[in-house]
Amino acid sequence: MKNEALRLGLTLFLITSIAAGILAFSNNLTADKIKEVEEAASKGGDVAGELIPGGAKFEAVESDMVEKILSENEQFTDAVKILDGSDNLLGYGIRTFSTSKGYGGDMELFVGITTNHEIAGLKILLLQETPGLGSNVENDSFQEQFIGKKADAMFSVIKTTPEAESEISAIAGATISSLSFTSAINNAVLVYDTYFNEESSGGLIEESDDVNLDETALIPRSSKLEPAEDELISLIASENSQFVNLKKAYNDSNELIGYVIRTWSTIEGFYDHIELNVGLNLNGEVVGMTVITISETPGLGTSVENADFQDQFIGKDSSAEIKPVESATTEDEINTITGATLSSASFTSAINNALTIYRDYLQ
Amino acid sequence: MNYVKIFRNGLIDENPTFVQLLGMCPTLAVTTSAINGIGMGVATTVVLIGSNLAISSLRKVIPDKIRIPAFVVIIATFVTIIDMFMNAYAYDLYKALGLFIPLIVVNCLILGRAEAYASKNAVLPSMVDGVGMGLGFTLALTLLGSVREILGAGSIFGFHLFGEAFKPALVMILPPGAFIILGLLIAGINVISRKKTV
Repeated sequence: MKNEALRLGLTLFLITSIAAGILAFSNNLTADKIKEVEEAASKGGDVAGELIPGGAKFEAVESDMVEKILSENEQFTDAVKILDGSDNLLGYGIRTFSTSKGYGGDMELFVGITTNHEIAGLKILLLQETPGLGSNVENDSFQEQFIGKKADAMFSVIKTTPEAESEISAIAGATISSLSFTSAINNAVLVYDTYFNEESSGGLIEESDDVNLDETALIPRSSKLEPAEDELISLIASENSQFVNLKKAYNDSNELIGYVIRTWSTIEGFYDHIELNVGLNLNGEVVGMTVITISETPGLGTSVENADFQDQFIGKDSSAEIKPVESATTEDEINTITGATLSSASFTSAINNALTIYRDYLQ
Repeated sequence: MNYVKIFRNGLIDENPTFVQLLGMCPTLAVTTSAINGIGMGVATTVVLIGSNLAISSLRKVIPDKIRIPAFVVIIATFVTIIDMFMNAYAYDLYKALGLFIPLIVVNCLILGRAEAYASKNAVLPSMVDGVGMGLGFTLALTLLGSVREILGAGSIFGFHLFGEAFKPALVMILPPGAFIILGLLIAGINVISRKKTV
């Protein structure tokens, strides 16, 4: 018996060793070739032509520039110049991951932007979305929506027929993938505008904060948001230092059903102020909220992003200031998060500021 | 040995998907479109022929008690080699099928045929068995993928069949659709095959 076990073990060992040997050998044979083929697929002349029609080859941009972008933009991976056959600069190829995740993780895109600031071509480098659903972002009918558009504004994804230049129609059943894809394009546009576009006004960085926030989710049954009147926004901004922006929410039949107020907290959290989008209905009741900017301790202060904390605010209105306490007993009190009293107080102050703005300007 | 019979056995009588219900995971996962079904089927067929060949020629060397781990090692080695060579020398094909290759290692159809057939039969019949079973699998996946694509996306092999007014039943290309269609197809095939034998 003992001998048999030994014999079987050795036989299996032999089989696996031979398999390992064969694998090592074939790896040796193919590794260089694979590297070469993959380089060609992402950096070859054909790709240059796909990104910008007429493009014949890539040329590296200054390595300092790439280093600088890499250190300032998390999702960015590479940038190259695209030249035509006679070495004229046609534009830039920007390689970036998406900033909002798809279903199967981040996507990686190669975006060609011409010196006329137009998006000329796209190439997907990494895509792990569901075949038949999310993978439909590979379809020309989706990608064509970006081609020829000016790279001077952030694209937003909508579920209805696009009206504005910067609106992209989502793929039915694949909203998350559409958002992720668009976020990668937006990041490429942002990188282009910030680092390569000499005529840039520099305004995109701020605007990019707005990207991909599905603000209609803040107000149930709303289908679109429109900015409030400029005079009103500047009036509120002049009197309320924490206020950022105000949008009006409409339902399908174009009736005003609420407001989205973007505001910073009036009280600092552990590290800094928190920025929120707060959705209010016409009665001034809180119906939804999302955190826009937060620099609290992960796992502690960031717990203000949890639904069970945020749900406490739903239905509250401006009749009384909301007070964060350890154990809430009355209507106008909410429970702070254990271990995150300061963050809870800061979060609450932002909600209170939104309610104040509603009471003072919108009621 | 009647090769036609072995071939027919794999393609129809003991169809791996509709009769033996082998390899359900890739079957359900990748059949969102007809072309995906064909891709997975062809990749599996190639691996199946190769692994049947390797295992039936080694069948006298491998001790019975450790045959399963030995088969797994052989199949995994085989798949990995195909993966590497396709990547190096047939990059376009690799781009199209690359997603399916690693999935094949865990496809119990391969191990099932190794255990049930290749380990007991000579090399040539084993390869014919691989071809038959592989094409049976391809046929089943393509059928399943076609039905799901027609109902779920309104197209077949990417060609749109209906006008703009057609609203596809999205559920058909989602996981529940895979189960529903597979169940209906198996039921349909059972009805047909029973009528024949009565």
